[in-house]
Amino acid sequence: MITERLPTRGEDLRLIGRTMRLVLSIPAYAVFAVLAAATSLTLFSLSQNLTLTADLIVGGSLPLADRLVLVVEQYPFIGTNYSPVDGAALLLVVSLVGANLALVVYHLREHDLSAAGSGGSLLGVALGVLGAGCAACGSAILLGVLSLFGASGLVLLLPLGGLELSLLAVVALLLSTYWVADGMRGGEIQGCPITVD
Amino acid sequence: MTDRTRRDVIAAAGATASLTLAGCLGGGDSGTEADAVALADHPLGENLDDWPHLGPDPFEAPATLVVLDDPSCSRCAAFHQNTIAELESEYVARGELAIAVRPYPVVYAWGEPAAHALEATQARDDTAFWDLLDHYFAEQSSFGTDNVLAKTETWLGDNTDLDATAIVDDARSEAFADRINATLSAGEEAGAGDITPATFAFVDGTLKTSFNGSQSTASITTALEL
Repeated sequence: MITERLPTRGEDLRLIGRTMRLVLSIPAYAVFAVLAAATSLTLFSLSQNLTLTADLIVGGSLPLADRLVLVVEQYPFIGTNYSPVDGAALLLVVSLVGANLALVVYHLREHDLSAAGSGGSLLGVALGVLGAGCAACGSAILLGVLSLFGASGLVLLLPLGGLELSLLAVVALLLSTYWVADGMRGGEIQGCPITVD
Repeated sequence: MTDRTRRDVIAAAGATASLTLAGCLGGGDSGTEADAVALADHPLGENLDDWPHLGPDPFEAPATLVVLDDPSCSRCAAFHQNTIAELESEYVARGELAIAVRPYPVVYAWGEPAAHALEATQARDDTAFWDLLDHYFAEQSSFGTDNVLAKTETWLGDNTDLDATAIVDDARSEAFADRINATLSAGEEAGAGDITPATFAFVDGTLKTSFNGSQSTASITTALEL
């Protein structure tokens, strides 16, 4: 039954939270999660401005300090590319990407198991890239993908103007995290059992 | 905080990140800056004098931005109300920067009649063009395809000395469709696609790069080395 693989109960969400907390309490995995989130944020943000990235951030002759300014100014709440809602959604997505990847890596390294459930991570990352920013006003990657199907105007029909994609990314990442955590159920992290009462 | 100070703070704070990023971003002169296309030869430079601009002559200015705006685009509104306003009060006022704007209706449906109304207004009065554009941005949520021209006529009648009925008649008959189509074609040729605001940055008359979205003042001034 597919419902057995979906987090439908409160205890499933508590399992996600407890597993995340236990893994991220290990300093190395916490640092990894932060770096993964920062890298995701940078990639998502720069994906909205590929020409600027090629011309002046990667290429061109600006000093390194100015290149860094251009990178940082693409981030939500520092630069002005994102509305507060779009910026918050992007930060939520990259936070989940960081935590999710930390869990997947922990699972692979410590339990020597397969990456079951990490397919959801990839889906979440893909949706995160597509949904980053104001999709209605034009997300470079999203419009590029939709135009392949002759459907670049489709996003304008969405009631939230494309924010839906970021919300789908959150759902995909939570599902992935649950599947990874479910696979770790019954084990231990630093002596603490991965169970919820 | 001034832009220069802000740049310094960010650069200092990014010292650690630079160790990671330097390898990815490159740090020397070996990169590929935008192809050296002169504004006069750029698709958006053709007949650019026919569109309104702030500051010095776009072809003579030390730095020039050509902005493609859709009146219905929320990020265009944010870009104008924040970044363009800040640039205008400082860099445009000092004659260091010219900003040309061309209506580019590619987002919501009401943006198209609004763009026609903007062109019809600009044909009569540049100042009224900027005021009407500000009005569209300020009141975006109140417009739709069914009311945009009626509300435009009311606003023009209340706030300008122009013949509001004639402007709206021109917008309805798409009397300036050639100008809209010229901008849509030029934008497509320049690679703007359906993304707004799309901003093309020129330094000393040569294309430096282009931006998508409502970039910050610091981003623009850093790219233009102002």
